[in-house]
Amino acid sequence: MDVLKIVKEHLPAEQPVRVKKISLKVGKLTAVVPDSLKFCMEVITKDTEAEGAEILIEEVPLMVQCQACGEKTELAEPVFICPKCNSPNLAVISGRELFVESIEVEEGES
Amino acid sequence: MEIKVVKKVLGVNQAIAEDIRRLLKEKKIFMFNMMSSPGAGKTLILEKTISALKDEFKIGIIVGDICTTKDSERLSKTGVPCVQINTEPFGGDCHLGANLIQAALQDLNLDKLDIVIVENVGNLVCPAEFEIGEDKKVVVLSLPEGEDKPLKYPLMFRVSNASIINKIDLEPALDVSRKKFAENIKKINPQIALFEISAKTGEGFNKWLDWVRKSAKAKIS
Repeated sequence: MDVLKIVKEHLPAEQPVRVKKISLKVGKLTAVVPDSLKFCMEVITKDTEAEGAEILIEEVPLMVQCQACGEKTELAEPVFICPKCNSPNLAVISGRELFVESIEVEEGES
Repeated sequence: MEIKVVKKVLGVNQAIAEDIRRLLKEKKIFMFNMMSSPGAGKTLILEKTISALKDEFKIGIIVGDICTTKDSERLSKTGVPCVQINTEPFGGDCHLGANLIQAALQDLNLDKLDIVIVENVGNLVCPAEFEIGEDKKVVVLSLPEGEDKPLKYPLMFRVSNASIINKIDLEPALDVSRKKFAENIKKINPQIALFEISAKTGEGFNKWLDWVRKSAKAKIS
């Protein structure tokens, strides 16, 4: 619901528009399943300016940096151990994202 | 026409959580958020925690329950102020958002409290994603749930500061290894404070109480 609210807040107020595309960024380490989010967006945009809009979800890999040796790694599994030096002290550098990146609108139609 | 947005979906929740954090800092209150799957033993752990600590600290509790008041009825018997966040009679929210916590805090006399405990809705997924302005997140897992659960719900164990493995008295009856539970939790979050307890028999409970004491004192004094 908050996604739709954010989209609506960013629509130009002057004229009726139709939203063609909504681009979202979703990190791997979030409680969000892209397919479910897509389905959910299709349902809640019904009868709004965003009905039928393409929902584009870019998944952001879970990247960590080892605080001991500095190695940057992408984690495919949630095991937080540095593959280079085995240190468990890892900082998450990406993968917690959940935001609306951009929207594409078509003017002149409602 | 493309419009750049770049806005966090949970930004509104985050902003309310920050407001709560400021309020609790000003009032010198330690708040922890207890989460688990349904039936892991949160309510019994909290009943015993409150009974053990209520003479040392002034405690208030916020209870999230999908559709009954059973937990708050049990917790009210401890004699501390208890606010129930009820959702819907046929099942409602799967988590407590910061807005609900903000409203519930208004029903507690914050000038007279040292600790606020939030018992979240039983769920290992959604509550992990919603900040509520707490100082610490605590996740409870019980032995019957199986040792693979930390690996299946990594976000919950990654964002938590402490984890309780409950119902250790059942180990002889179950085909699970307590050691594996601890290992799997540490794989996700090596820095987590880990407590192996039985809320029923009281085994291991003192270490958990000491952690609550220490965390609370660090905030309120």
